[in-house]
Amino acid sequence: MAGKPHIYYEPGWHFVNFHANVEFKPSLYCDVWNLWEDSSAPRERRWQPGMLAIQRIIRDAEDRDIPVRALGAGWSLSRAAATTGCLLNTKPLNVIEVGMRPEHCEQVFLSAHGSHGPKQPADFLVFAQCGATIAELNQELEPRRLALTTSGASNGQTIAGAISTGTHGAAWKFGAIHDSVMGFHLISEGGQSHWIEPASRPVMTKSFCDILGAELVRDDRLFHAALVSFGSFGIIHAVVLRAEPLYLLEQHLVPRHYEDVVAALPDLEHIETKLQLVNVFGKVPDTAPYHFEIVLNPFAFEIKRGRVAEMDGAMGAYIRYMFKHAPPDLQKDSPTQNLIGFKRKTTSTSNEGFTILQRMDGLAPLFERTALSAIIGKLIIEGFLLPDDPDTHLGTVLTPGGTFAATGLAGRGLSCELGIAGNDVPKALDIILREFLAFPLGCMPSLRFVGGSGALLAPTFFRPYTCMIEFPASLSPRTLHAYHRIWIALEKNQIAFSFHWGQCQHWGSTPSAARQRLENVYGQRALDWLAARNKFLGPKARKTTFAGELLADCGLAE
Amino acid sequence: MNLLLALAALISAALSPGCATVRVVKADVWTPAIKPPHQWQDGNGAYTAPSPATSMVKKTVFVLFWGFNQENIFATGCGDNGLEEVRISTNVGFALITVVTFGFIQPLTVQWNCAKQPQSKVKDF
Repeated sequence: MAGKPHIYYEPGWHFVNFHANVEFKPSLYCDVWNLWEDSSAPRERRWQPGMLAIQRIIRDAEDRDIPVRALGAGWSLSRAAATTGCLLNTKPLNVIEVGMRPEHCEQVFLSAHGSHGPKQPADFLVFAQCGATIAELNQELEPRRLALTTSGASNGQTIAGAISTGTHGAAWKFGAIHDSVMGFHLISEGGQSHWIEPASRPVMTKSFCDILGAELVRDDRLFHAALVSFGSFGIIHAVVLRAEPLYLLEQHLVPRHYEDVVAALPDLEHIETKLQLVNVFGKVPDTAPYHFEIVLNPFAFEIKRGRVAEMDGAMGAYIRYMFKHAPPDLQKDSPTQNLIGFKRKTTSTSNEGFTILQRMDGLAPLFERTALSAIIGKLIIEGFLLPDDPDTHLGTVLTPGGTFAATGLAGRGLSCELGIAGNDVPKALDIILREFLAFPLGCMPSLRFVGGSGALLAPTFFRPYTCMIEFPASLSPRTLHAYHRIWIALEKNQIAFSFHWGQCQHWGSTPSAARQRLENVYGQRALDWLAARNKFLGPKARKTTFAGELLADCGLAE
Repeated sequence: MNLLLALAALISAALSPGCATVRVVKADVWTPAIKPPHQWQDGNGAYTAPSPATSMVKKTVFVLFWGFNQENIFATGCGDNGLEEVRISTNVGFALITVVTFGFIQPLTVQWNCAKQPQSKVKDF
């Protein structure tokens, strides 16, 4: 029988995010746990106290006329979690259940997905409470020989935080993390509990919703609107994801000439042939890489005859690519006993380089007005971009959990990430590199290609794929200035781009200007998102309870 | 100019919090999903970061009288769970205070956060 949930209130909380670029003071901060008031945990339905706590906090916030925001791992570099109201720490809510009973799944779902060995379609469904991290999911899935279809570059994000801000990897034929969500449990106005999934692709039955105590809502527009909505529709208590059979990622990092890369970009389907992306056997396979990423060294370029070009003898682009394998295949055919090697730090360049670059900000005040930061950045970037040995072609071969593991160093930093349509990438790169030459910055832009998403406000909405260009750098005014220069230059050249909701962004200098720009970029999607929110929530919930700084800054708090 | 830069760097280092930090965390418990064959290396020994349930709580403590007034911190708010990580840090300023007072005052910064509840095998769905 349900009792009162354990909620721990912390007075006078001063929130600082993981990268230390966002700070604010909520009027109320609380940790919610899967515990009852007497600190006991239920033996069944272990998620129930946490769910009831969320409902209670929402009702309290409504009574007090204050907003309520959910906090995940605190990794967002944007003000997505910022609030003057109640900040609710969801990290303790980490129940994960792998596999569903078939009676809780719609027949249409079971019929549409085949079995895989002894595993039936329902075995691939994963219930994850909002605070479960990607690392926790990997640790639960991989021993059961399952894996997430995609994840971000590292594994500390909570699942609800990751999907709400549009976190992605570089699965260019699939999409981002939110694209593997089958449905989600949303606690909204008045603490009402809804299970939301698309009407066009029903997955869970009413019996599942009854256990959760949720109303079953099947609505395509609502699903795609609330999926990536940074807490604007309510608080996501749990999701059901579809995992896939465990696979290995064979990862390589190779330098290539920028001109060759740009020429090959229009045909990602054959990128492995155009760029000679070989596998561990030293051969170009007949399938495109599963993960495709480009890291640019902006210090390898100059203007030659009015064009951006590599300096003589320099390599401006490094390709990080991964082929996907079923585990037994690669082990059976391995040419070497060292095929599965330790995860080497040198291979996760963007991640490790990012953390080192973040550390530079301690010195930033000393050379704010000089280009010294850029010079240090150049040394770090070129020191970290250590490619595969060209003789052995050995990268690393790991499961997804081993490949996208923890960030080595935590640190202060800034990053912004822009979503650009595939066709616009060459022109956008030319503009960006010109800005780097005019205003050097210690930053190695990383381009990850992500399959287009159906989520209305997903940063990765361009189809068939979106190129997400990330600019990790130190936390300094110089970095922000450089970002603004790039944003303005792209806009001047009429390159449409989205912002990653979890990173630095600037849609406009006023909410109305931001709204206009957002509508220009997303078009009908933005209007559909607003219509879905207006239909789902009453005025008070829209303007107060589930409103936040990010929503207001974008002109979406209507 | 160089002297000024050096001085600024020194001051910056002195004021930088947590310049010497010791972390107490549990050992990595990552379970290799694919056990490599004999003589192969463990491919999934990838390091994992702590995955705490709560944010870090920070407190500066002053150990006085060479430790006679032992100051203990009671971590609340973790339910029945343990701690995920404890950090003890000092900096140049704290070290200076300790030296100047011959150890009479020893400031330290202590931070901690709560562990998550372990996963259960009970299935509701």
